[in-house]
Amino acid sequence: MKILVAIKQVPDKNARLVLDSAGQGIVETDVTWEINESDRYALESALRIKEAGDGSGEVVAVTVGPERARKAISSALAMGADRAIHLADPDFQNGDPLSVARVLAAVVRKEEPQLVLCGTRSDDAGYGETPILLGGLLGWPAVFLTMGIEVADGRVKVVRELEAARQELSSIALPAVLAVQSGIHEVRYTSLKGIMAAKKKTVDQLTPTELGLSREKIGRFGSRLQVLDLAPPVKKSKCEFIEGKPGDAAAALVDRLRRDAKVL
Amino acid sequence: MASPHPLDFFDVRSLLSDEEQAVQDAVARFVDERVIPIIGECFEADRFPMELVPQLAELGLFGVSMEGYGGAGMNSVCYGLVCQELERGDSGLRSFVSVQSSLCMFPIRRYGSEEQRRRWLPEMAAGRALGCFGLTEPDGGSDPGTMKTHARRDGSDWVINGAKMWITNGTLADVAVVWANTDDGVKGFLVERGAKGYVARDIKRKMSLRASVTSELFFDDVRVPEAARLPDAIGLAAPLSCLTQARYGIAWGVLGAASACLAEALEFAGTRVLFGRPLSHTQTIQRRLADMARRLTAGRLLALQLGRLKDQGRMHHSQVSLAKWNNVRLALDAARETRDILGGGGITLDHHAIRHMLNLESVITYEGTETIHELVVGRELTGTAAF
Repeated sequence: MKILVAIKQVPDKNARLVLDSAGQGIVETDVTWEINESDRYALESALRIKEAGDGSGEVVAVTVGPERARKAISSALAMGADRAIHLADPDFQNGDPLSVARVLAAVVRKEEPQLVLCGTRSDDAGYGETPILLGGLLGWPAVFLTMGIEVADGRVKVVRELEAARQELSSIALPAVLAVQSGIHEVRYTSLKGIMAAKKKTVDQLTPTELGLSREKIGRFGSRLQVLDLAPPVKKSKCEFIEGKPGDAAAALVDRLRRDAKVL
Repeated sequence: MASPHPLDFFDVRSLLSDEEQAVQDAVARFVDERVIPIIGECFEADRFPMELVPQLAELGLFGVSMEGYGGAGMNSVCYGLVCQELERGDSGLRSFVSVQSSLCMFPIRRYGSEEQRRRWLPEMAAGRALGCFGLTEPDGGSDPGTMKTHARRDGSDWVINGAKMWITNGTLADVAVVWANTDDGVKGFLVERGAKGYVARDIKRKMSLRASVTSELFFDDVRVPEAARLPDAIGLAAPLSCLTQARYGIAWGVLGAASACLAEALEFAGTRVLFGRPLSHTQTIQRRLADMARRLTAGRLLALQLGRLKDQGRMHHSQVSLAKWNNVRLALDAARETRDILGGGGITLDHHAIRHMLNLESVITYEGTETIHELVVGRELTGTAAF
């Protein structure tokens, strides 16, 4: 089975982000980057499906991102992806979820995988829309918050995470797009041999023309969404100590939670 | 311009290739998730975490720079980074990997027969066979030329008598690389667990490297065939070349312990309020933190350049001595400083500093004491050996 995994390179969770002078992006100079967390779970899921198969499977990692995203691709190949597609052309970049989904849909039509796995949402922009839009563009079923995947007989059994710790089990006809939730499996450690092997794996670069895409539909030109402003959160919280005997303090706390915080 | 990273003030990481950074990241994640959560308890219980061995092998951390025979075949900087990240967890764990890779797999690869390599190296890379290295003896380690362990030729066999001391992984080992004097100079032998007359016994009551096994080895008429001798190991230069490999790893490894301590000192000093302000707002504490950062930064650059020289085939053993001396000293001082900055809490295993501090007391002694390394550099500067 051929599985395509869409990954995104995002700033490291511990990176100290500085807004650029225009206030619409971050200064990238000192940022360290990593593969988006839920995308790592998507890749892990793909590798497990392949390993449970008859050995004929293939896992292809694809990313839309500038030259720096090559490092995320190397990480995916080191983890075990068989090959990768890097959409680094400037025309692909800075798109909203719909423009990114259009690019991915073109890659899917070219590669013809049976399954596309994505992370649920990116840790930077956090729209969480790309996988569902991708399913829509392809006319494929798309599942959000996937917490279990079992492939058998041309269908896939999917466990979907619902509210209040409930789960839904469904059976879906392939091909399909699954947005994988963080925590579905334990993500493997990258081995040194994997890092060495990654150097010999193929990374293809494709242009918009090769994918039959016009630049008006993709990247920043294809975006309907425009970021107007970015700002760091303002710290407004303050700490208040409620003094007194434990019983009195607890009563006062309950009162405050009801009256001020309105959470009880 | 963003502030420099407190633990990598000169962004030495940016001098690493993508591949080298990937190796560091892979091992760092393993240490954060699998080592640090358990290592304090292991130290307290005087227990080596055997359960980590298959995972270390899976990651490919045995024989990092070894070409073929199951090794990862990476450069020396990658091996250094592996040591650094492991020792950020614990010197005992790094010691385990150093011994397996530098002191056992290296001599078998370098001095062993093809049969010995095929038999041991893939098994050792997979963590299914463990090794130990027997050079130091009970009467002292700094003068290995006077070793008393002796191997006598008897027909097609060798008969080994003697004792070895302070042997990391001794009782865990399936095979011991044993160095013995013969009528024809020092030779190396592979002695297997269970050989008649070969006994390994753990050294107890250690207050250092408690998450690591340290043993004594006894050889009482241990008979091994000629095929167990390392054919290409001639004279004391052979075991000393192994030590150069291991010391190289130590020069990197201790940077991990030092950075763990500096991180802990920064965290504590930033949050502990004394006389109405955080400790870190005082000049005395800031000077101490700055000094730790200064020495750690210099140590990082030293280790990296040493690695580059090694990968270019230009590394001299006296450069390894200088780096081991400098970096272990800075790490030990950082651990002691951190232990002190942590106040009363610093004496418990709830913090990492005292564990690193106690471990580093071994690290500054083994693989050439600090004094020996000073004298090695002194000999290089003057052309005269003073020891």
